[in-house]
Amino acid sequence: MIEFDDITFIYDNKPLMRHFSCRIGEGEKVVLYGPSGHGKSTLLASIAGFVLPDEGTIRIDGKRLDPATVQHVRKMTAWLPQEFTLPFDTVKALVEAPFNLRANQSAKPSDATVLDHFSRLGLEAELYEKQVVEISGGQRQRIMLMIAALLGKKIVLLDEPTSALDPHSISLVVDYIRAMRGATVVMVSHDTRFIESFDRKIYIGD
Amino acid sequence: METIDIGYGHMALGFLLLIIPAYFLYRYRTGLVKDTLWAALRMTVQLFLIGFYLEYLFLWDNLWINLLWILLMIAIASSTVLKRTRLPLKTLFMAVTIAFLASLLIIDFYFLGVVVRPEKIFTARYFIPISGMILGNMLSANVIALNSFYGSLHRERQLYLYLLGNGATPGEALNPFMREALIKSFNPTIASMAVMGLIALPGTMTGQILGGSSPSVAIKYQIMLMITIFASSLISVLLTLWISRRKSFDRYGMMRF
Repeated sequence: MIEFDDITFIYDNKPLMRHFSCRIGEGEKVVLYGPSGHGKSTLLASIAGFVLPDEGTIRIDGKRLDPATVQHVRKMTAWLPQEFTLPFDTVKALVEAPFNLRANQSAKPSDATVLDHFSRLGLEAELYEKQVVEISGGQRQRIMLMIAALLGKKIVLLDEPTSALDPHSISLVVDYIRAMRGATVVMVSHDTRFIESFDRKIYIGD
Repeated sequence: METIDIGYGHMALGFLLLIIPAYFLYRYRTGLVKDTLWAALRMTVQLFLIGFYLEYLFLWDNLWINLLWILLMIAIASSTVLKRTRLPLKTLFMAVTIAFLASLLIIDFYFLGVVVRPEKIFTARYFIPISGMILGNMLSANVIALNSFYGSLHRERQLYLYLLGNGATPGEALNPFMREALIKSFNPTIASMAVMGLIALPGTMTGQILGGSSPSVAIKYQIMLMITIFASSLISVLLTLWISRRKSFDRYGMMRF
């Protein structure tokens, strides 16, 4: 599904990551972990074509990621960024926004589906009617994860999906991600408990 | 009805009015006295020069000279827009110039060819001042729009990437930024259009009345010019954003600057 072939990233004239190769199969749930500043998030962002490797190639679904294919690849991805201050007033608007894009309109969930997913992630139904500023960082993080899952994409990219969560919520999130059958999920995390919950872990460091 | 000419001596008397603001700017140590005098001097020289050029442009009334004059004004306007928005001149100069030229010609053809209908569309007496006025308004609308568009793209890069990474086409991912640029740049024009005639007598109308036109003709021109200015500014802003977008992003949709 995703292949990194001899990837090198150079940042500020210094190599951030050198000659990295790996293959992620369809439906796998993979965690990238390791010390900060060694290119985990960069690697994740490169799958969506946000950062380009200085050397090497990335293949998605057998096709080389290049300007001709990047648009097609992005239609297959759901992307949860690490920090987000997205300008939406209400939780409902936040949830609906990506489903208003042409590529996602057919995946638009009903309110009942959203509320079902809310409960699986330990979120109260009332949150759906609230303003974004009224909810906590952890609640927002789970809602964003839910959006990424509901988009129903083949590839789901999650950058630090549990950084604001308590242990109980983390275990709910782990179950939730495991249940995303069919989706290839690539995650970046610093959270030991979270990392240990997945079979496939890739260390990114010296 | 002839307009009364102002003699140079009387103009000098007019300049004496500047003493009052200059004195107070000096008294409150604003540091603006020198700037004021310099600006007034520049304005005077520039306008005298323009008056001088225009006399000749009207006299020759040659299509090619008129077009060349407009091209020169457009080039100055584009570089002014880019300098004021601190965007890269080399990358975007052609984009803004083409956008300005296209929107100016579309509107000039329509306004002069369909609405005013002088004998020759490109006759200097209509073509030059109307184009100048349209261009001046395009300039300020574009400065606001480009500032807003590129400024918010930098500030809210996360939103742009979020949309792209979740299946948006480049156009869809830029839509929120286009929307904001249009709102910021056209809100002031809409507001001023709504109170026109109530609070202030607009420049064209005042000029025409002073020039001997009847107020009923002057208001018609003013109304048509407001509509023309609004349409041309909007068309030019859209064209500038669309064309400059192609230069501002690489083939992966990432911003170049």
